[in-house]
Amino acid sequence: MLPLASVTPPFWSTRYGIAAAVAVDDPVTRSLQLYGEWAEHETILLSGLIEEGHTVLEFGGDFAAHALWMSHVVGPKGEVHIAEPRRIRFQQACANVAINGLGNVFTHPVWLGRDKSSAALDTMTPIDGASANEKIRIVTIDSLRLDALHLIKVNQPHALANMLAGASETLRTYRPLLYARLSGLDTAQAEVDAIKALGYRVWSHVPYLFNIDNHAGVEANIFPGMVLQNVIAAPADSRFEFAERLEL
Amino acid sequence: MTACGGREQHEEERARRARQMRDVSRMLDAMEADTTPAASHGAPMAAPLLPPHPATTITPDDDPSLPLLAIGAIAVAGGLAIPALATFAWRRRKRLFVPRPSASSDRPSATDPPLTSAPVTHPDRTMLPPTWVYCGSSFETPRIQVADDPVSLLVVPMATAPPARADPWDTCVREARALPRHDAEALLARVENQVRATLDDADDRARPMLLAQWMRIRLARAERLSGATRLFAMRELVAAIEGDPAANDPVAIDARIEAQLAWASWMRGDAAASRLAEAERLCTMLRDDDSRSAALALRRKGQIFVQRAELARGRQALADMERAQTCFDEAHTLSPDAETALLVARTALHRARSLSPADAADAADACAHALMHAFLAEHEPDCRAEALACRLDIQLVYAALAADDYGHAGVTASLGRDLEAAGPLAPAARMALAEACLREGDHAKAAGLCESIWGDGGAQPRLLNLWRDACDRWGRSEDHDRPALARSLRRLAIARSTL
Repeated sequence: MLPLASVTPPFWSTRYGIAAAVAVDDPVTRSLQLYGEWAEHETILLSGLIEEGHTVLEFGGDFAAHALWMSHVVGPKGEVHIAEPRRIRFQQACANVAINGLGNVFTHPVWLGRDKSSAALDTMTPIDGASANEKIRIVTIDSLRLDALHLIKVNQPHALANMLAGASETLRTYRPLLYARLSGLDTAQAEVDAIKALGYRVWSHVPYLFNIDNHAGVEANIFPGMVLQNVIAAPADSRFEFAERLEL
Repeated sequence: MTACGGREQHEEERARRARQMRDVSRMLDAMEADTTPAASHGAPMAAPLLPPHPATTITPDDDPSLPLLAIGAIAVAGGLAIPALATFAWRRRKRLFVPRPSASSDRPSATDPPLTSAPVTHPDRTMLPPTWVYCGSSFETPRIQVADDPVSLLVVPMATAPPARADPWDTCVREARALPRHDAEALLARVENQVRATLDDADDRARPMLLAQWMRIRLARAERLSGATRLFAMRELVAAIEGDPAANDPVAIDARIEAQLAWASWMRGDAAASRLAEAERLCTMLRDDDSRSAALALRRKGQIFVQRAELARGRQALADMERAQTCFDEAHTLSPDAETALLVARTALHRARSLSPADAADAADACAHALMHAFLAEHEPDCRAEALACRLDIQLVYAALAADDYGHAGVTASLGRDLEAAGPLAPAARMALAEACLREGDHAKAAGLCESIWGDGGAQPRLLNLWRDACDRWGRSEDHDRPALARSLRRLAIARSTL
């Protein structure tokens, strides 16, 4: 990790608000620092789905980079819930929520799983570094007892299948849209199957990390050819149709 | 007789009729093309071979005075072509009848001298004996015009677009679409400031029109933004006019509907449905006390149904398309301009595409309906390229419905050439052209067109499937350009991998 003192200035101006500067040891922070945005192609797609008054749940805080725009999209009558299990990242996300005065964002220092329990972080997801054996708290989405839910956005890898298993009641009640980053070659098929088993249709979404129209107007591409392998899923009986996307 | 002849003779006869039909169609097109300066330089066009629309079928009593040329053309053509041409001619005659006074007293009696201004006279007119009119009896025959008004096959000039939209600011908005991003943004920002300044100083009478202009410029700027930023821009736009009394004037309401329709097109599912519901609510506030206003309201309603159909599947989508068709048909009856004709044509084409193979007859009827209106739209220079693309699409759909290929290849090729000559083409037009090229065996060109559409941001499964088919057939053709094919395949792989 780079020393914090080497990062100047203390805040970054991003597309949807300001973000506290942190060490740039991560694609998210590198993108926020250089481009003033992170995975903007995801927000372009999701901006066509979220409305004012909606409730959104995001698993994996990504420094609240997307929570900033979701907060504006759902407006004062909507809610954005962020679940971030890692202690330092949770605090950094909270800082960004606080300095932007986002009253409709709720933060949860938890891992969303199949059952209520606790575990070391590296038993849940492959991870290196100091936080690998950090103890995390696991809860289910059902236990959050949300009053409404329109979209679940999953940024955290190796979490989707178990998270869905702990959300059966919520999914049955609210039938939210799902937007998830797949975990990799070994688990992608099982994750897609888990979504389909809930009566959802699934489409592929492969956004490039580099956005040529980025907020900072930087032309250099520090993510050449890099894409995220995501899926968007909607209940089969809903009116969602993504004709231009590949249905899985 | 056909049944008695040999198979070879039968096929020869059908081929001959198809050739004749094509030639007659080209002759008619060439005649029509002479009416507009832009069209007069183009190559002759061909008409798709279509059956008549049921609503337009001619009965023997219906038409004592079809133009001689049309009669000649119909006599020459045969088989499927006859009803299509008859329908076309009858439709034109029907349009020409609309503004004609209906009261018989306004018409000259049979004994009056013939009108010298008439460009065409019926040959029977001079031969009618006066004894055919009986007077002074209880069985008196009312005075009737036994010779119908002359009918011209030349298409009458279309009604022009409402003058409200043809101002310098509107022109700037259109020009901005063709400019590079930064130039366009600078132009639109400048124009928006000008309109805003004028709007702030305007009196109550001028405000609605200026407000509508300002909204359209803001909408043009929003179009150029990305998802989230555009969403916020649209919310700001709607919030900015809230509480302004001028926003409830029909002119401003129309601009508000336009904004909601554009917004809905950028949204999905329920979010899009919410925007369409708002557009529908605004539609009820539109005036319909004169034909132009009523036609405008109907067009907007039709556009809402079209977009609603895109959110639905199966029967629900088809039902919405049929409602849209009804609205556009009524709007075209009230105000027969080229833009509305094009909307009618596109909706009918969409319906033809949406129908299942079991409803092939209905699909053919929808094609006929679409074709008539595409023809009408084609005579407005601004709509010519889009109407040609629509005709080519209709031809492709109809050829897929038809049991045989007689004459279709020639018509498709001719339409493709006309379309290419019409100038820079929109992605939808290039897609139709690519499909036509694929059917004609020009696989390299079809692949190139698909690639160009992808380069402009298109990546629908239909496009990628067409591109894949083009490359497959290109690879199977002898002496093909291997490096060019490899390049196209590589780009196709990239396009498919980033879905």
